Parts: sequence; C-alpha cells; structure tokens
Amino acid sequence: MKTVQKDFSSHKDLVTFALQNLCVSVKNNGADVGAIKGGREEALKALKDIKPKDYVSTRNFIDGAVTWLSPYIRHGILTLEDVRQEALTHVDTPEKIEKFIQELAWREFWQRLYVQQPDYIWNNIEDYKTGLSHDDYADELQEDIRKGETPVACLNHFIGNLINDGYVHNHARMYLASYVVHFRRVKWQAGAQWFLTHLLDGDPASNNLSWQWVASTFSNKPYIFNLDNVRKYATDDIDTSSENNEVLDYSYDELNERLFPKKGQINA
Amino acid sequence: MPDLIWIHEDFLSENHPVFKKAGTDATSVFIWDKNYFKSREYSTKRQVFLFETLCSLPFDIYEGDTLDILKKLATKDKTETLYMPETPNPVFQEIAKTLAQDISVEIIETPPFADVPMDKTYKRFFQYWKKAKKQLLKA
Repeated sequence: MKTVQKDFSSHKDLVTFALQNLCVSVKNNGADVGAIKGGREEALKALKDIKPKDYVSTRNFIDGAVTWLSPYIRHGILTLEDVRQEALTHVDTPEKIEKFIQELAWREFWQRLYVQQPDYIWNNIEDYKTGLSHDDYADELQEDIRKGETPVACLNHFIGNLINDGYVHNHARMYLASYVVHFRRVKWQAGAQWFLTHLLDGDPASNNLSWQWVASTFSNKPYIFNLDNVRKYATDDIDTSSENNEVLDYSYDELNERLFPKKGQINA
Repeated sequence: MPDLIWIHEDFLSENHPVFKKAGTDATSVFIWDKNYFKSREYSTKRQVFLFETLCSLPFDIYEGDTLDILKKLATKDKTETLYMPETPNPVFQEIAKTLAQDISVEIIETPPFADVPMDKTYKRFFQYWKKAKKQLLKA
C-alpha cells in the first residue's frame, strides 16, 4: 500500500494535488479553498495573534477581535487548554477575560453532550417553542438561500462568507440560522447540514446544538433578530438598507407577531 | 510487532496521550476516505483544510476505505494493538468496534478542559459553567 504524497514545492501545488486526486466535490460546493489555511504552524501563528481582552469587548461586532482559531480547535490541532494558556498570558487576572474563557467552555459543553447524548445531534431535543410543530417546517433549504440570492441583502453577504470563505462570524451565524428556521420555516437540521458542508470549523456538536438553541428545540424561546440589530454590529460594506432588507425591518414585537402568530394561543 | 495509531479528523495533533500510550515505534496513520467525506457532505474547502493540516504533521496518509485500510495495515504489520484518540463520532466508534473483533483496540481519552463530573447531563450551559468556572479562571 502506498502512502499519499505530502511534500510539495509550493502551497499551490499542494492544493492542486488535493483537488485533482483527493477531494470529492459536493453540490453547491462553493469556493475550492477557504479563508483559513490548515496546518500546525498556521494554528500556532493564529494563536499568537489572539487579543482576548479586545475579544471581550468587541466579539459581537462583525469586525470584532475574534480569534479565527475555531477550525484548529475543531480538528484538535489546538486544544482548548492551549488557547486558555495563551489567553492568560495577556492579563494579570483571569477574570478580565472571563467571557473569552467561557466561550471556550461552550465548545467543551457541546462535546460532552455529544458523547453523553449522541441522539441530540440530529433529533429535536425538545419541542419548538414557536407555536409550530416539527412538521410545519420544510425539510429542505430553498435554492435562493443556498446560493446567497435571498431577498435580504445583508444575509446574502454572510452566505457569501459561508460558501466562499468557510468561515462566518458567530453573530452572523445566528442571524442566518434564525432566518432559515424562523423567517423561512425550514427545519434546523437542513440548515445545520448546510453549515457543516461549508464551515471549516463545522462540528456536529457545536454546530447542531447551536442551531437547536436558535430554533428553540434546545432553549426556552426562539432566537430572532431585526435590522436594527444587524446595523449595530455590521461593517460598512454590508448592505443594511431598509429597501434591501425589508423582512428584517420591524420591531421585535412586530416580528414576534409575524413569525409566530400561533405562539400566543399556545402559551395562553 | 509495532503498534498502530489511528489518527482521525477529531484530533490532528501530536499533542495527545495516545502517543505516550503506544510504543515509540508505533506508526501513526490517517485514512483519507472519500466516501466518508462524501457521506458528511464536506465541501472541497473543508477537505483542502484537512489535507493542508495533514501535510504539516508526521502521520502517514493512506487513501481508501477506513476499515479496509486499517485491517490491511494491521495484518501486514502483525499489529497487536491499535490505539486511537477518543472521538464522539459514531462512524469512527463503529469502525473501532468492528476492528476490536480481530485485534486489541485502545481508545485513549482526551484530557477534559475542566474536571467536571461526567455522571450528569447538563441540559443548559450555565449549569455546566457553574461547575467549571472556578477551575478555568485559575491562572
């Protein structure tokens, strides 16, 4: 049995070899290469670049000081403890970066649940708290979502990140998941698989259980967002105009009524 | 009869107790299984990321069906024990179970991030965080 070639004269040759000899392509594959390069050295370099103190104050902003370490953590190239140890060198007291460490703990929490409750990964853990039942949601993602051609400009931007970069900011992931499940009424499972196809850090536990959190099958209420929220956190290059994002341009009360018209009756 | 270490996509690093557990002359292998990637619907960018990573690590890569290749390697090298880092992935667990019918398979635990008892399922994150916080906020 022959081993697969691993030495290449350039990164370009490595990628060409992989694409020609090893990779299988999927429908709606998107870009061949993502925005984050794999490798031990790349992981260590990214680890040196983290800014945990800035992360705490800016992490919800699309251009906030997020670490981009998630693909390396997902595949065990870096451990959570590697990241915690590096983060601690940036502060005199750990409490200053509690939020940063807490986010690492989320990953551990999801992994524990995966081991303990493997059925949680693809099955609804609880009922939807939306006034709707599982069967009210479509099985498949609509094509305009897959292609990033929805009527919502800001979300098309984030879908572009997903299919071209293989990386989406966490806040934008929540927007996309909420849009798919609550605005388009698609089962969270379809959206979760879509993310797993593209995200370089796609992990069955972190990803799917987060989708269940947004969907409300693993939380006390559905997560929704509106255009004002996107405007607060988005960068200037993202189109957040009212005319190109009409379905999001409502107050939370209005959205709750529009998206979950049966919820009140059920809860009453 | 050197040991065999099966490296899978859940732990792509030399920094795992599995390497201490296996003999120093153990061979570490990753199986590039196209059907696995297809079943997971991984886009090519995910596969390229994995290949970039594997090229940076001292593991041999073989292409083919995971179970088939591991069986062949174990037979060829007269492997007594196959070691692997633990994984929550049911596909890998199933392969390990099948291999264990013929050879000894040892699944080596990955050290937990926080030492929180595993005997309870925490259904909400903050129940878990309450237990883990003190340890994790220690310098």
